[in-house]
Amino acid sequence: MTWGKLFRQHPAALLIMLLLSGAAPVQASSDTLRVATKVRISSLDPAATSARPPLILYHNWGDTLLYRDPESLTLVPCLATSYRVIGSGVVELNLRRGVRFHNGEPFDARAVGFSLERLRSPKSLVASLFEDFQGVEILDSYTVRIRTGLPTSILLEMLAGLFFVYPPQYVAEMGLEEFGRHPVGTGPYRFVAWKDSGEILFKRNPNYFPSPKGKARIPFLHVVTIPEDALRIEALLRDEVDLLRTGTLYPENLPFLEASRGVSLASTDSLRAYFLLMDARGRSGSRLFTDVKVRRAVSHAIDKKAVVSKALGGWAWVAQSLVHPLQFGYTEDLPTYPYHREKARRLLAEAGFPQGTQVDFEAFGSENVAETVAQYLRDAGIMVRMHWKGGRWDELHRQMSEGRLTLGLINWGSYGLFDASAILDRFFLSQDPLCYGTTPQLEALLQEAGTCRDKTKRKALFHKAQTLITQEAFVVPLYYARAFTAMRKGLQFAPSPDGIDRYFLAIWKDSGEKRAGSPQDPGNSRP
Amino acid sequence: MKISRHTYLFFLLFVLALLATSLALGGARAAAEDRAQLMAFYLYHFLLFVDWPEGRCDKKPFLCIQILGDPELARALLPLEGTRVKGRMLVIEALSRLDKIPDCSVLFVGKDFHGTLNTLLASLKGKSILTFGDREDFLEQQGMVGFSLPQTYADPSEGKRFHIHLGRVREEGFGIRSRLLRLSDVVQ
Repeated sequence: MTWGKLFRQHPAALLIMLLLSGAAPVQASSDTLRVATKVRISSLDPAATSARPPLILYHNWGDTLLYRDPESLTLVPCLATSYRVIGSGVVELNLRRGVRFHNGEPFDARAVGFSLERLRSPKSLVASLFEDFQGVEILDSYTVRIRTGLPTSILLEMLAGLFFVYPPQYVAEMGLEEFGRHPVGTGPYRFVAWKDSGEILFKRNPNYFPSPKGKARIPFLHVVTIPEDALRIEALLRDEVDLLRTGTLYPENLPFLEASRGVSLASTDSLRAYFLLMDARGRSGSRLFTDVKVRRAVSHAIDKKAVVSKALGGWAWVAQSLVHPLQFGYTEDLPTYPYHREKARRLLAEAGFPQGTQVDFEAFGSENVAETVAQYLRDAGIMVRMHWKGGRWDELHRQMSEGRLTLGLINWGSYGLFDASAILDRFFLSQDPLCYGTTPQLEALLQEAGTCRDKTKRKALFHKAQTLITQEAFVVPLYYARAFTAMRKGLQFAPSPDGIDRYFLAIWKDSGEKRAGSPQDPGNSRP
Repeated sequence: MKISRHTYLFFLLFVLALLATSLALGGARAAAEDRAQLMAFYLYHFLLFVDWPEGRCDKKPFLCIQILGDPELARALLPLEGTRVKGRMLVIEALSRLDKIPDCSVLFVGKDFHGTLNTLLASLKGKSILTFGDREDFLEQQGMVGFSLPQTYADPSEGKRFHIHLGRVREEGFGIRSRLLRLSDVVQ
């Protein structure tokens, strides 16, 4: 035998030699995408919780009538193939034929009608957002008319972001609570199991219809909850997870991760607004923040620029309003409360607290920010007892809804909707359980904006509303931040400004898979 | 060139033995690097949330991290040199023997250090030097913060990663934030 014949007859020997030389790639792509999230998940029914992970996961195992393209941010057909506006307040939708829920149940007009009733029901946590939906008229199995008082632009946002579609037969049999534990949708992933450990498993839907989302690139999706920030990063470094849910990575650890082998970072603008909420209505039993002087004292007590630079490493920018610059209705022309500790103390004294006061402070989100804000408040004479909520958003949300919040550091992502109403209506319409401060004038402005079809007039209404909110200092807007994610090198994933992670678009770089919509991807072209 | 059957078999055995050794050594090296990367992460993370003695250390322009007896950890930390923690620029130094350690700095003593640990650590008192180590008896030997990294990642929802001698830490004027205490077993 010659050496040449040896290698021709035993190519394994050549491969071994190449491996030893390090010439061959080592990492193999996985058939599972493992995602770590921070906030505990109590239900996968996105209308049963206001936590972000179930909303994100819904868009992965379910679909909506329209879909937001993550690159162009435009709305494209999904479960509805087309729509037309008929007169004032009526939109007619043609529904996609041949779509089935994961349990085989057909998607049709009946499912759309059923879903709207679910979304508007008293137990739905998005019911207030669907108040202006008057009903669904079924014309035939695949044609519906939705009657609504909403302007078309916000209606379309909701059809893309919030119109969750429920299987009527399955929900009737199992009940909503069971649905939340074992969801059934039409989406690119289907639910498999929810373990006692809290891990949730999904697998690719092999029968997914030709959707603008495309079929899931990675066959399995595995979601784990790790509330502690450092442990979540450790899981990534140990290769126990592949991706940290966008928005759960805070700037303080960015320098380390940027320098880490095996890890890559991505970021995006985010609609999320971070702010202090004060109980101006006295719902909690405390009268402290019913006095506008105290609220203004808090507004002057915090150096927002310093919060952004010290606590967030500059990876944020100061907010003067809860409305994000990317949302319709955003305005820059608002009164401001410059940082002024002495003025804060003076206002407190005028309000009857010359020696300062004490208050419970519920804190959620960035612990760095919470500690920095707490220190500013203490320096101004407001001695806060901080209660760090960690990953317990549902607990905090329940506390807020039940009127048991006096002062809180919270954030709100507007459900990924690019409209001011998605945040202002929640916090300043008195019938909403999250409303801790409003006036009849402010409510009237928001209600008028809710049904106004003239864009210019609507913008003016939102401007007036935000001016009132600022004058009354019902909240202290702090900042908007870039949302970060970290992932294993080798994974290709891009976060989106609407805050909805599209795990079905994630691919392993060496898998040979193509992203949806590319010419090499047959069977998944947009309708 | 023709090769004999014996040479051919010997070659195959040699290649297999080389592969096995290479994989074993490579695996051990990768495990050591992974462990060093984790320790580097937690060391960095710790420094983000510790408060240095006010009036003594906060104005120092550099934060020197000296690694004694753990070259892997020093290599894992090196990419962070030049970044800032609490306004101070990180400087990473790998030491094979003990030199003068500047005040208001960090000293990590690794398992390769063979000197008398408690004598070394006792000599640092009063200098605002934060000491770390990964030996099991580190706190018994006058250390401040011991690492407690599990070999495997069994339970992602819980986990202590440090042992902290809170008395010694506070004696030197350091403040430890609550998020570090959540990750720690604390000894008073």
